[in-house]
Amino acid sequence: MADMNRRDFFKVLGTTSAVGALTACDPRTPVENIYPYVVQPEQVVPGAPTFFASSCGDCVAACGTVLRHREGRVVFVAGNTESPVGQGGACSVAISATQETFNTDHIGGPKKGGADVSWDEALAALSTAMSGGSAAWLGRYRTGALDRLLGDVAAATGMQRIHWEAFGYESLATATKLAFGINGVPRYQVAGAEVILSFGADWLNTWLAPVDHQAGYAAARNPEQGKFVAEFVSIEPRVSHTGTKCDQWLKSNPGTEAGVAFALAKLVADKKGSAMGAESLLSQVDAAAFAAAAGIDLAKLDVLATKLAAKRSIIFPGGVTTQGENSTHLALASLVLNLVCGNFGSTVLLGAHTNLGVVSSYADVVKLLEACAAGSIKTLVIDELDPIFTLPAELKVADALKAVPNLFIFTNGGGDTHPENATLLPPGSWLEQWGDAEPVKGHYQIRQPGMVPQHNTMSQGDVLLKVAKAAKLVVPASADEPEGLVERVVDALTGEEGESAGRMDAYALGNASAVPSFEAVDFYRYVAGHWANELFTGSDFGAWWVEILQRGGFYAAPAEPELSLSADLPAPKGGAALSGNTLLFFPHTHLLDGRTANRPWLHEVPHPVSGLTWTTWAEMSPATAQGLGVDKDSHVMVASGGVELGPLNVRISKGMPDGHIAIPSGNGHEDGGSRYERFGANPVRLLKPASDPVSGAMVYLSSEVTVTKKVLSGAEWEKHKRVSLKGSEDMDNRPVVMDAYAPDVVEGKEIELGHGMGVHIVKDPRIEAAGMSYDMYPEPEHPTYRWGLSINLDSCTGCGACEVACNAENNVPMTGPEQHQLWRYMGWIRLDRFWQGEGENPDVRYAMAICQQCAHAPCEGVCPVVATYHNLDGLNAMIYNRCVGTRYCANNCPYSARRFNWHTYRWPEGFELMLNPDVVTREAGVMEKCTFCIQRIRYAKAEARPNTLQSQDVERLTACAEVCPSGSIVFGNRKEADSAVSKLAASPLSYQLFGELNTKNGVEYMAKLTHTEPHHDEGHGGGHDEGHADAGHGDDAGHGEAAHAEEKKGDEAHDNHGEDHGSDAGKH
Amino acid sequence: MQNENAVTYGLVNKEVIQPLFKPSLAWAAIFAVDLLILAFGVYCWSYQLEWGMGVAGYTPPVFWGVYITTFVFWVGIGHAGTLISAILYLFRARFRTGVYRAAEAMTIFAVLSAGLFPNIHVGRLWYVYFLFPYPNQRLLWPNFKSPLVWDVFAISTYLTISSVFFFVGLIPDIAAVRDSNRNPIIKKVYNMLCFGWRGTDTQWRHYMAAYGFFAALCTPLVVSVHSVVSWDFAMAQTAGWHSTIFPPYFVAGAIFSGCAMVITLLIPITKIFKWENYLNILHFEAMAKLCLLTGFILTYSYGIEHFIGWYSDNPYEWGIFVDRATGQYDWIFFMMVACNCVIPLVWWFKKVRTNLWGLWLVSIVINIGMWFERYNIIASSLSHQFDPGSWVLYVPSWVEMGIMVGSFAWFFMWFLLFVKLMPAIAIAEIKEMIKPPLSTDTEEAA
Repeated sequence: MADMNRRDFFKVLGTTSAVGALTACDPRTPVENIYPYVVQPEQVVPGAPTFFASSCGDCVAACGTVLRHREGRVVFVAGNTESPVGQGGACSVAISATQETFNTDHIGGPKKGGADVSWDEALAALSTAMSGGSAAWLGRYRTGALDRLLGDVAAATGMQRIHWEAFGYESLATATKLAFGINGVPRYQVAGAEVILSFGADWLNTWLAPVDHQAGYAAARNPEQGKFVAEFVSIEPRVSHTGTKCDQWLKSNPGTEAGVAFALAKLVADKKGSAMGAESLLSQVDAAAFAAAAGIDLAKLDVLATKLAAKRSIIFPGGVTTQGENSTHLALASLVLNLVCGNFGSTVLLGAHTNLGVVSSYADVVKLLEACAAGSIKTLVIDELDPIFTLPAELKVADALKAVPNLFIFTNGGGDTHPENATLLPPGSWLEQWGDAEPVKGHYQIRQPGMVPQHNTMSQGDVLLKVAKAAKLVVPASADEPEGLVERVVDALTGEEGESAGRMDAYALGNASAVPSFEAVDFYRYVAGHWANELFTGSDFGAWWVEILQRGGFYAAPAEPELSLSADLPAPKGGAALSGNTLLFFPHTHLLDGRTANRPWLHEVPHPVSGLTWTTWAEMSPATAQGLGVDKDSHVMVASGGVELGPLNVRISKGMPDGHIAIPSGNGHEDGGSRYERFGANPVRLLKPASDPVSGAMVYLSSEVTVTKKVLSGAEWEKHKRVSLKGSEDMDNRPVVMDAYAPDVVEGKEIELGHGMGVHIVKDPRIEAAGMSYDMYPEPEHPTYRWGLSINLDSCTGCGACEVACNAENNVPMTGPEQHQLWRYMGWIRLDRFWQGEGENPDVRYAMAICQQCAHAPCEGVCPVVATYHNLDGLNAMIYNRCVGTRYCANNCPYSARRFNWHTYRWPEGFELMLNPDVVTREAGVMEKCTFCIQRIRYAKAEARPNTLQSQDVERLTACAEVCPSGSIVFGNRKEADSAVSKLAASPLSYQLFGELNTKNGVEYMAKLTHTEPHHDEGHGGGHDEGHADAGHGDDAGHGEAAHAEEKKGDEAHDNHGEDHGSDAGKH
Repeated sequence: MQNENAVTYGLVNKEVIQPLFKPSLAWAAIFAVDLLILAFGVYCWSYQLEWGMGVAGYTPPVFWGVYITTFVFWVGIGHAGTLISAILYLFRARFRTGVYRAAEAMTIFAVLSAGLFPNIHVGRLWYVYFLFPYPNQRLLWPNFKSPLVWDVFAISTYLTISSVFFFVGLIPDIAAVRDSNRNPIIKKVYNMLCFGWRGTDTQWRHYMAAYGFFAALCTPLVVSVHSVVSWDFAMAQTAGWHSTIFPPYFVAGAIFSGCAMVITLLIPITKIFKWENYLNILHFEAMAKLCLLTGFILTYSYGIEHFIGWYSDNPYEWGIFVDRATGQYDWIFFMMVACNCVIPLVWWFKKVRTNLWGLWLVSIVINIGMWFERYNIIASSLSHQFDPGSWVLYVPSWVEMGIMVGSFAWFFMWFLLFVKLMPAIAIAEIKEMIKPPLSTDTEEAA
């Protein structure tokens, strides 16, 4: 050391500190390796997405979807605008499908008794078992090629097929069969209906085809489109999520809805003078008695019947909540009411009906389980059902399954049903499978994988084909099978011309193996063969097939049949009112029957109505809560027949009947395969096994429950504490969601929004006259684009699809229940829900509160380091790297639209694979918020170069707008006068949130439309008429003219918002 | 001076310098406890740095909480010192003399405490230098529109100027300490600290000019610093913050709390060091009167705030003020009103404001009240923003409270060191006020 000179010393010092600095990097930053493709896959350009048209496989609606693929993985699921089912929307469940794939709690490969087995072993066992006879298949409703394949396998092996789902449609299917002799259930086309009536079906969110219904609902509520605004009357015991959108809620005693429907049918028939063939049935109806039993004023029904007789309508049947022991009668009554109203063929379709495939009933399932328990079923295959979770405990499903010698379960690992003796066969998610669906008669949709299977999985179709081959099954010749099927298909596939065959090769379809028979090489070829056989009529199958893959399906509309009501119908049964403490079981908007409970996004996103996350709650009326001595922070135990459920959180709802308790489904797996399923409690445990004698449908509405307050403390309290993320129940008379009287809007009368709400700013005209400005700073320049969003608060149903889509697109972290107790939900969209009304008009208002991209943004000015700034496109852009985390911006945001990374929120293992590579993840201490999916804007601009983006091409550019099932969110360029957003902004219904703050927002809201007549109490100065059903119109603060409406004129995109106020200032 | 004639130069030197350097057992014990509390505060901060801001109780949209509350509290405390030393110096207020040194020290330590909080508060402490306008290759500058950047300038200026003023004022006294100490090391150090002050006429002439200059320089800061801090709120759009009354209201509040803190600190010191000759009831009474004045301004401001909230017919403003008084934070509002507006009124009674217990207890109440005032402003406004869909309840976590308590320990650590290292009473200025020693009483002066 002695001979070290100064230079050497500095060399050593420099080297050591550099090495030290390099090696001592923050351990929180993970090491990432980037590998280039050795052989670049065809179609894949790094950095550019590829899109695959597919069909959702999570419920019977089977909406057309488009999968966005990036570098080997599906990163986003959106709707397919080509598909008539859903029309481009997607629901929260479809969007969250990536979490089905990447959930590492899942088994990832076949398993038996907890140990890994190979597919060869599993399939060998299955084929041996299936050829052994006494086999049964218990699975979801299946349509398309899989239905056909199952039919063939069943025919070849004598396998019994039971297709049942927990919130199934057997009552409606039975009623349709009884009434009209048609297999299938109606397709509901809401678009043309002027009056919408529902008896408890959650048709906007979970029932049948919610995405499709929402699109129709939006059309029916659009005054521009049909010159009417549909009126929605909901007859149900409890205001369901769908019911929150109603204009009138007629509270029925639980269990009496069928009677109300029959009574209405009779009243309408009397008014119309024709019962359309239902005379004998309706002659047995005593309208007054049925109305009395339901607790609904007959006069109100009469008013409703007058509307139904005069206007086009649509009548939805009952849903899970109203599914009692007379559920078939309710379904039948709804069909008869539709018939009497003349809705078949216009709003209710039976030609292009909803296709569910084979529909079995709950009673069939019970019978099967009894057979299992008795040992007469040797082989049982369960297809993605969770019977242990979804069936009442008294059925002892687990014991019955244990008695089956050969038990095979298709499951990815979620759910409660994975007994020790079962062989678990993971089919993967529908994002990785080939398949198809026929959700509506005549609508054939392809299910195309967006990525290769991420785990060692095999779809049901492939499994069945392999089993059939191994067992050497032969498709028995059937009467309706045309001769020479295989030859015909082979001809179609190979084609005459080389071009076609070449194309076939290119798309790996290959050769004659594409046949709808057990000879097909794999299920993909089986599907192609099925389509060739069923649908293909042209000469160039290759070209046709390629087009199908691009468009996502083949859509035809079968003609509507002539209907005649069967004379042989059961006598109308209205149903007796149930006691005052019935369990009102309702489907959770996101979790459905529990099948999606393994997807954390769906727990993370607040429930649209209750605002609760990661839990199960007991809903009760304010009076009931008072009686129990509980408030929203309390917990209760709910017991029925010796089973006690809880502790449950409490939600106090003005939409609940006194005495009854409502509990949502989906949560509370006791033995859930995924860690996300083990929150909350399962209300199915409270149900008694019972079925509707006509259809065999399960009875959800019968259990009497007792509720007791449960005082928790310490760790228990911490564990079960939940906070509703919806803030205040009412708007406190603030102009958040404004409303307008629908008939006025239709008639084109002058609309006055936010009457008496917010601040009326009076501006001195002399300021303007003197050429001075109210603004301290000049308007920021937007040379080409000023991006804007229009959000229609009338058609918004609060379904939450936008929230999930935003989380998926923008890599928004999940924070979990503990952080939610402190409101640290990171979603950039806060879906406000205000419950303004009481009683007959709940007047529930939803508002998608996001960053408003203000031109004069309060956040920008206060950021000390310019980490948020206004860009030339009119966005409040974020520079995450520059953010120090003073959080001043968030304080100063009047819309509370900013989110802060309180911790470095991490993705659960596996889920990092579904991150969107276009968006960075954020570390602790950084602010974030909506930027209108700036990565999508950038990409679209780059694609459009050197031209500017066309407005019509970007209307659904942002993730929220892309998926919104009701099309309530429209994106576009406000600088362009004829863009959709500019036109919407010019509407008198359009307003800016807290416009008086003069932040010059990029987001415009369209007011909610109401059918409740406004009250103009002249001279009622200032004070707000509390408790008035229509808060927006409840008072007149003495401002006699439409200040706001005038302000809306001019399509200069609100660049001079509020400045023409001067003209009417004198009138104030 | 109560008994000017009895006090002599020698006595002043003796009484003021005597307590220095020799820590008593009691002092050591208090100091040890103080360091323990400080250590807990440091632990809390480390914990927060390790686990993220989330360990605090922030409940969005409440993005500011106890840290900013305590920051404003300490900045406010820091105001009395400069007011007393600079403004009252310029106005030649006699009662200032005994008080001002300790008050000024308090100012600096309060600003040191306050200065911690922006650092504790930000999400990424390691990038906090972005707030300073330093030259860099990327030509990135802070946003000069942001009140937080003004804050950076205001606080750092205030700390610099008041420190300089403090040390200038200390020069002759440090020389006195040097002269009365026999320890050669201390002598050397203190000689350096007083720049070799010898007390010549020339030195005195320059010194007085400099002191007057700094007093004048400090004066506007008394008003400006807390005005700038108030702009952190007033410049924001948040209802309950966006108000032009904030600067005077904050300055009044700052002086109110600062004077109360001076009383809180000086009464025990006087008792312990037996400085009744220099600090007595007259001084405290004067401070109490100042509190009464500023407290009245504060009460008036509260009233005006609520009146304007109602009168504006602005539902957001009025909503906030109704919510403050009747909502989830009502007890904080009532603490604020009780501690700042009602309880100090007992000082209208001469009996109370000339009683040391009466002074001391009420001054503590005021300090508590002023902390609650800031909490009331911050927490209630943010938890009750424009959109009712985002209304929440914010409750501080143990980490926040630990750091807040730790900041008190930090403040007292400095103060405890100060009273042992520097003369806490301005020796030279006290001497100006007593009878100068004449040649006839030399023996006395010795």
